Amino acid sequence: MIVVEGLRVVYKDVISVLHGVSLRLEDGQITTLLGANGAGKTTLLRTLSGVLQIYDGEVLEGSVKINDIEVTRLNPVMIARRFGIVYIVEERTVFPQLNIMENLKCAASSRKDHHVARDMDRVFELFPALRSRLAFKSGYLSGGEQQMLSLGNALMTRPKTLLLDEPSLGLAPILVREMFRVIQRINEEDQISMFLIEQNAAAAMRVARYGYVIENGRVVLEGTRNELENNEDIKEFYLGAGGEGQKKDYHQSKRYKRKKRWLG
Amino acid sequence: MEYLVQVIGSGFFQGVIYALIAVSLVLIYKSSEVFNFSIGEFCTIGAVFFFILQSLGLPLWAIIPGFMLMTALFAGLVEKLIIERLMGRNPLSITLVTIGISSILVGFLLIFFGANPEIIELDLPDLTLEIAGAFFISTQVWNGLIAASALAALLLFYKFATMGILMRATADSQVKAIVLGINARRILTITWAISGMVAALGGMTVAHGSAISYDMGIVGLAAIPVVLLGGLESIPGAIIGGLIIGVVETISTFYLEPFLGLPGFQAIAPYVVLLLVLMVRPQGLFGQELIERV
Repeated sequence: MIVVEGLRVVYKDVISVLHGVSLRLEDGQITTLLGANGAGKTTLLRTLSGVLQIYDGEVLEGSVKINDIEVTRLNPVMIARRFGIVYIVEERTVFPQLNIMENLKCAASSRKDHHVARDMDRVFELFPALRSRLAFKSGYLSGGEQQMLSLGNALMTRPKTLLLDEPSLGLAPILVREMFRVIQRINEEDQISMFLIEQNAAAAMRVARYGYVIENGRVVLEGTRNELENNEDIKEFYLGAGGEGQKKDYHQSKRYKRKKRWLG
Repeated sequence: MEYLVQVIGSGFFQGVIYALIAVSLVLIYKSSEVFNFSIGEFCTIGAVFFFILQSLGLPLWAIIPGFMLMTALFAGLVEKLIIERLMGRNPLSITLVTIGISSILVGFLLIFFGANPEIIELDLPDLTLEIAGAFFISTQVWNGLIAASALAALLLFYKFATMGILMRATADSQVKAIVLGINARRILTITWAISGMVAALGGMTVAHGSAISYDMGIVGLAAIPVVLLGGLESIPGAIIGGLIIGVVETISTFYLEPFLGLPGFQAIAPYVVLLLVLMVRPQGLFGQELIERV
């Protein structure tokens, strides 16, 4: 289980992005984090995966603990290898100049076991579309294919947790549905925990069991899927339903007047 | 025109050595965006290691892996002790640091190697070539062969070996490599080490047939038009660029200089060619275009 407590993160010493974020990611579960642009979602993922320093970020306060071991400022390669956490970045964790096989081989390179070929077969079984694009440099793959390869790369490392940064971004709706189906399948079949960061709240909530909402660097709401789906504010601001599910008159939708009742 | 085969042949033999040095530069640039201005000194140090091992009386089959490994270690140390500390900084700053490293190395060479040039000898069977009226001495031919084999080996390694693929991946994106559990830092050190190995071979071929001197690092500068011509991030580009520049030089010496009445034109001819190419293709002949999907 991954426990985040009171995380305060700044960039370049002055740009404060996370103001005391706390959450827990249960093992084997798909947890989602919903939030608008700039809320701090990517920063949180960078902190969890240990690459924050590369972006000139720093943890001022708070901790990240994996199974009670403190990993807040741990070397990212250690976090990936020892704790099995793989960060699927927004631009997809693929190497554009390498082709598909080379990508998968790289991802598997830090493994010492002998089941690499079997895992590679599994990747192609999950994503048959990749079979037809083997010769291409992966930078030329479509967005959906890159996302598939991204997940494939992650799977090749035998991860325990996947951090997914807006996986539905830029994908056609039919692909989004397919992708979430695969994510759910991987979660169930391989017992891989997932931390799903999304703006597409509806899609995320269909697969997640538990969720958090982040705004301006603070967690403002959490709950089970049911609780979130029935929350008035979530329905209005993240699921696009009007107060009672109807279309709203322009005059009535003055957001600045509408206060969020986060406690409700 | 009667000397054409001689001229082009000599150009190729020289060019393949330039290609070696250029590839050494490209390896580093590809992975860290740093232009290693001390490349010439890496070559010199390689040649010096060769000379040391030879003076110790070791047989050739021991010297060759020996001096390559020693230079690899040296380059790896430079990366670990100096370059790695600057990780995250502007690559241009790190490039300037390599200029400093170059000066320091020349100084060390002057102190510990001395001002007297030394020769290295390779006791190899005679390979003097005579083709179509052109005459190539054995040293020249051997240099060309060694350089060409080294390039071939490197290309195969870079494309097919696991470490080669990892090097290309890390060059693509260090962050993505890291999140997949790949130790990008170690791969960077290995990249410098391999670059050093290649530079060592380059240095040896330059010294073989002439001499080693503390300032022979100047040859590194000759690689600059080569990498810019071929594209700073392309290994095949460096190879082809090397061959082109080699031939351009010999053509200038034999034909253009007397024709234009400009002795010494050979020294700037590579830059003229470079200028012409860059005007048409600023990324170099094989420079990497960013694959951007819109």
